[in-house]
Amino acid sequence: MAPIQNYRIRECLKGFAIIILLLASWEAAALIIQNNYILPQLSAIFDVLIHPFEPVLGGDSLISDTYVSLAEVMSGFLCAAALAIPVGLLIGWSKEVRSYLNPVIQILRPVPPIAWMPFAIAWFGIGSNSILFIIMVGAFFPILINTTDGVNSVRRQWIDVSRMLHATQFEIIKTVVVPGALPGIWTGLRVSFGVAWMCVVAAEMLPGASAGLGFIIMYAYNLGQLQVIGAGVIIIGLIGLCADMIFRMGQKRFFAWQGSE
Amino acid sequence: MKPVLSLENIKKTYTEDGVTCNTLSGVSFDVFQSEILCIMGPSGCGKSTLLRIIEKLDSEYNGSVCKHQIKDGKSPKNAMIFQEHALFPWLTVFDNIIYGLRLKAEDVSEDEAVSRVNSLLSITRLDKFSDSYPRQLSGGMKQRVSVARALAIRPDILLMDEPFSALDPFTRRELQDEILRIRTEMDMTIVLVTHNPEEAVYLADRVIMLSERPSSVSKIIQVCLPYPRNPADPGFLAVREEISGMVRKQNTENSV
Repeated sequence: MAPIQNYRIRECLKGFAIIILLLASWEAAALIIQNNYILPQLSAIFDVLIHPFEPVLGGDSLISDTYVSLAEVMSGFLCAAALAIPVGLLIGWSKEVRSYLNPVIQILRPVPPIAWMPFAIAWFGIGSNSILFIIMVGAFFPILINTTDGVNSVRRQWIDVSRMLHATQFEIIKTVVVPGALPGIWTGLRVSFGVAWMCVVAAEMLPGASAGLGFIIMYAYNLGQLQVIGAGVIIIGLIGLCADMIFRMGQKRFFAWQGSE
Repeated sequence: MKPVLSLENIKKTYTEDGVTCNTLSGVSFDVFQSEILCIMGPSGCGKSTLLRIIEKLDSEYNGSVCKHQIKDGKSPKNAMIFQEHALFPWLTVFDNIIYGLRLKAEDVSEDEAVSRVNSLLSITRLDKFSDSYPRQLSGGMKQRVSVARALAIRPDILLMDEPFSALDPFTRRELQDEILRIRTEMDMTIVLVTHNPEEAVYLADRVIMLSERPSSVSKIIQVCLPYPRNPADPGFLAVREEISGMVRKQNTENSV
């Protein structure tokens, strides 16, 4: 086997060792405490996980809750991207637009998305529209900021070349600025998907939600079914990990040119 | 000889941190058809700025850049090659070269564009690298791609801003020879900025020396040596020494 592969496997094993250590400590603690309302045993959690299609606590199945959350994230995320990418390009390209928009962005950006929940409920009522709004707010800023940074990272010389070959303003944006900013935009999408995923779980925990992973976690808490919470947390973590891996793979695949200059 | 381009009294000042800086203080010269004109001068004298002004990348200056009509009454077309190749790293070699031809400004059909690019690929000996990305090429090959990209739009005047300064001597000579060949094949006028006296004497019909900032034309040297030139030839060495001497003198004046 090639040494480089050996190295990778060893690095992977290190990570797995810690996970196994954590799981073992959890199980040991659960066995000592013997109280399902504080620390459920791993076997109870896995029992929930390996039956994803069965109704949980008399409601929907884990799969259907996962689907609800994912669908909400996807629609909120896509709406945010459709809004944030053009605005980000505009801010990055035009100093004028930046002067107008920068202050309001800098004020709104640090606000945790969940802080908008009461307003969201007041404007859109209880339910999925409010959750969608929260996801959009959360996903919007990372895309916006990274798109702007991406435009600013476009090298002056590329634009000079394009102008030298008599490109119009629109052609410069289309053929140089957008492709040059794409790695930044992609980073924004990756970060923002992570934020959106956190937002959906948090938003579903608030009153008014009736489905989704956040909802099932809160519902299980109210019924004292901590093994369901454990299962929910693991699913949330795994989906976040998968999404991030997909984005990273995309980055390697499409933007190998980045930093190669 | 017929001038294709006349620069008249070009003046340029720029302001940085509230300090006004005078870079060009009235530069005038003609560029003649089919010649290779080298612009030399101490660093910071505004050589590159001059090229950017000719190429219309810089419009904040006083004076005039006048293009004269050439054959069949057309105004000559420029293209520029930059010091750093500035290839688009997300495009293949082929797509980099065809880039200018796919813009609206060039009224060229796709078939015509493709055949032009293919012939440029063979002229610049890049045929095998058509589908490669810039990151997969050596420095010399990258600069050849950027030469091909500029040539694709069939310029009458090729502006080159220290195009070979980042290359090793062997590759540099190879590309210089290529430029000489292309100039004869395509009947082009070339304006080249360089800080390398040997390069100037190897390529140029005329060398324009700029003075230090605020700069103007301090001397124009005719290089009356036949091509291909031999850098070991006594005549060659004499001209090179003359130019080196002038550069040295300006540098010492600079430091006093």
